[in-house]
Amino acid sequence: MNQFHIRSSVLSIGTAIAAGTLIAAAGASAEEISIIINQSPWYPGFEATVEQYEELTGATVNLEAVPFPVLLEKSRNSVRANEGIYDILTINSIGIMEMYAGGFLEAVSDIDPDYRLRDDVSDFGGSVYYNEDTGAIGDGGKLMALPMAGVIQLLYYRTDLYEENGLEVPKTWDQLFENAQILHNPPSRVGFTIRGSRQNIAYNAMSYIYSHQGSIFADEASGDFTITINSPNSLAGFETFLKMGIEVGPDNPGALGQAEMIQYLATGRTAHAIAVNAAWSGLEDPNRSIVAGKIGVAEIPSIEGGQHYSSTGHFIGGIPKNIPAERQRAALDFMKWLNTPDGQRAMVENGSVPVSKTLKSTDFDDPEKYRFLEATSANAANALFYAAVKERDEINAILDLYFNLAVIGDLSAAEALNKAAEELYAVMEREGYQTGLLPPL
Amino acid sequence: MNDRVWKTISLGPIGLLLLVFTMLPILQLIWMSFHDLRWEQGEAISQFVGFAKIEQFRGDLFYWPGLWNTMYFAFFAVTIQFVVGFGLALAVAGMKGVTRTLAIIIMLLPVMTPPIVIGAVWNLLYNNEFGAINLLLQWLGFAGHDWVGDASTAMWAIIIVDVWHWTPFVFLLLLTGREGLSEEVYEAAELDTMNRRQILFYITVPLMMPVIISTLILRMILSFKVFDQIYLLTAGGPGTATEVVSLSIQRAYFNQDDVGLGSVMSLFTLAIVAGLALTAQAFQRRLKEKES
Repeated sequence: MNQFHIRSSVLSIGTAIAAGTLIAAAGASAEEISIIINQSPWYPGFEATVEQYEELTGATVNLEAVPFPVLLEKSRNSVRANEGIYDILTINSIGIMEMYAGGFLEAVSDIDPDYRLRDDVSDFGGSVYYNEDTGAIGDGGKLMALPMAGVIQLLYYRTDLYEENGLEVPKTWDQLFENAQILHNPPSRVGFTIRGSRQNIAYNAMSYIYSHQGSIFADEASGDFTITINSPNSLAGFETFLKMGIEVGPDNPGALGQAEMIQYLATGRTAHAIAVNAAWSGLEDPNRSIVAGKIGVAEIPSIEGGQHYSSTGHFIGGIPKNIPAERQRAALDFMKWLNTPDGQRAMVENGSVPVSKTLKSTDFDDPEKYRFLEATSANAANALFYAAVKERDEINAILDLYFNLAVIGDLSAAEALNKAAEELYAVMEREGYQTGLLPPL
Repeated sequence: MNDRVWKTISLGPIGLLLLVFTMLPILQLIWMSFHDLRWEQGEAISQFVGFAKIEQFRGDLFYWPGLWNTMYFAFFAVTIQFVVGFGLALAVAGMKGVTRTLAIIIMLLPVMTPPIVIGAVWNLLYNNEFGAINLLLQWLGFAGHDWVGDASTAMWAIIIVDVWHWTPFVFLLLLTGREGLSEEVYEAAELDTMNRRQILFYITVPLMMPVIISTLILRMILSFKVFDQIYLLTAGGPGTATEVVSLSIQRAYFNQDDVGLGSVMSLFTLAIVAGLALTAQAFQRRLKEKES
C-alpha cells in the first residue's frame, strides 16, 4: 500500500467516522416522521431546515402545512384517535395548555429521561414544563415538549430616523413615548402603532401591563387565580398602552391588526411598533418593504428599573402519546437536533425564527443581515406566557373585546378592566379555580 | 302490490336516511347540551351537568350582541336584496335576445365568486389607506373613511358585501317566478287600461307572492348563517359591532372546544330560524286561504 493509498484510506475512514459521529450526535435513525405545521412567514425557513436534517441523517420528515385556523383542530383529531397520524404537533400558545391538561402528549422526559432542555434554549416563560398534579407550567414540572419556533415580540424602530434626530434606543416606556412624539408627523408618519383590533390585542398589550407589575391573575404558579387585571398596576400598564396607541398613533388604532401594523412598518408610515420577530424577514426584503436596511429591533421597554416582558407567540413541538414508541423516539431525535446550535444556526440562515437565547449576529458571516438576533435573544429571555390555563382562549377573547372597546373609545381604561375582571372571574369560578375579585377601579 | 305498499317500499329508505341525517344530529345536540365533555389522560370524559351549559349560554358575552346583529343584518340585507333583485327581475323579464343573456350573465357573476375571493376583493376595496372606495371619494373631494374599522359603519359595510353577493340569487329566483306568470293576465290588464303601478301591485306582486315568500324565507335562513365575509373582513369587531351567532358558535366549538356550549347555541339558533320559517309559512298559508 503506497503512501497515497494509506492517506486515502485514512481520509475515507476519517470521513466515515465524522459522518457517523454527526449522525450519532443528531441522534437520528433513518426513520420517517410526519409533522403537522401551520403556513406562516417562518415556515419556508423551517422547511429548508428540515431538508438539511434529512440530508444529514437520512431520515424522512413529511411536513403537512395547513392554514393556521385549522392547525389545532387537525391536531385534536389526531391525538384523540386510537392512533395518531402526526408524530410532531406544532402547538402554539392557544393549544399548549389544552394539550398538556388533556394528557395527549408524551413528555420528553418520559421518552428520554436523561434529556434536559439545553441552557441556550429559551423555555418561553416556562411553557415547556408542566406539572400534572398542580396543572401549572414552569420549571418544577415535566419537560413536556421542545421549543420549535421562537415567535416573540420585539420593539421595531427606524434606525435612519433615530440617526437623523440623534435619538437613543429607549429602555423605558417614557423614553419610547418621547421618541415617538418627536417622530410623530401625521399623516405621512405616526410615532407608534399598536395592535389594537379585537384580534389578539391582549397579546400586544400584556408587555405593558406586566412590566408595570400588573397581571391577569394574582399568582398562577401557586394556584391563586384571584383576578388582578383591574389592579392599579394593571391599569397603569394599560393606560400606557392606550397612550402609545392613541396619542402618537394612527387615527384608527382599534382597526389595526397584526397585518396592518406590519404594513405601517413596511411602508414607512410608523416610526415604531411592537411586533413579532417573524415580520423581520419581510421588512428586510426590498421587494416588500421600503424601509429595508432602515429597521432596528430592541428589547421591549419597561418602567424605570422594572422587569421587561415580551408576550410569547412561540410554537412548541409536541409528541403525541398515541403513536408507537419508535416514532416518538424518531420525533424526539429531530426536535433535539433542532434545538442544537447547528439546528438553530440552520433555522436562522434559512430565514426562520430561532428558539435559542444566545445567538448573536456576530456568530454569522454577515452580521448586518442577522442584526435582529440580539433583540430576539433578549426578548426570548423575557418571554411571558400569560394565562397558562386550558381556558386561555376564552380568557383571551374576553380581554381582546374589552381592550378593543377601550381603544375605540367605547369604554374608559378603568371601565374596560373592571368589566373584563368580572367576566374573567365568572369563567374561573365556573371552572372551579381558587379565584377572587378586586374592588372595581 | 297496492299503491300504498309500493310507495312505502320505494320511498322508505330515502325517508329513513333523511330522518337519520336530520334528526340524529339534532338529538346529539340535545344530548350534548346537558353534558360537559372533557379530556383527561387522552380519554374523553362526558359528565351530565344538567342546565349548567344553558346557564353559561345565558351569560355568554358574545352570543347576545351577535344575535341582535344577526337579526339586524338579516333584516336589512334581505330587504335590500329583495327590492333590488325584484327590480332587476322585472327589468330583465322585459328584455329579449343578446341583451337579456348578457344582463343575466353579468348579474350572476357575484354569486359564482368563492367567499374567500369576495373577502379578499372587498378587503382591498374597503382598505382605509389605498382602497378603491376611499381613493374614489378623495378624487371626488371627500374624506376617506375606515369602513370596516369604524364601529358605526362596519355592519353596513358587511351588509353591502352581502347584498352584492346574494342579490343575483334573489334576482334569479324572482325572474323565474315572473316568467312563470301567464302573459294573458297582463294582456287582460292592459285591455282594462291599468297603468304600470296598478299592474305591479294588483297583478305581479299578488301572483308572485308564493315565490316571493319562498325566496325571502330562503334568504333569511341563509342570512342567519352568515360567517365567511364577517370572518374575513372584521372577525366580529370593532367591539361587537359585527359579531354574529355563527362566530360565537364557531368560537365555542372550535376555539374553546366547548361542545356543550356550542350545542346550546346551535339549538337556540336553530329554534329561532325554524320559528321564522314557520311564521313565514303560516303567513303564506293565510294568504292562500284569503285568495281562495
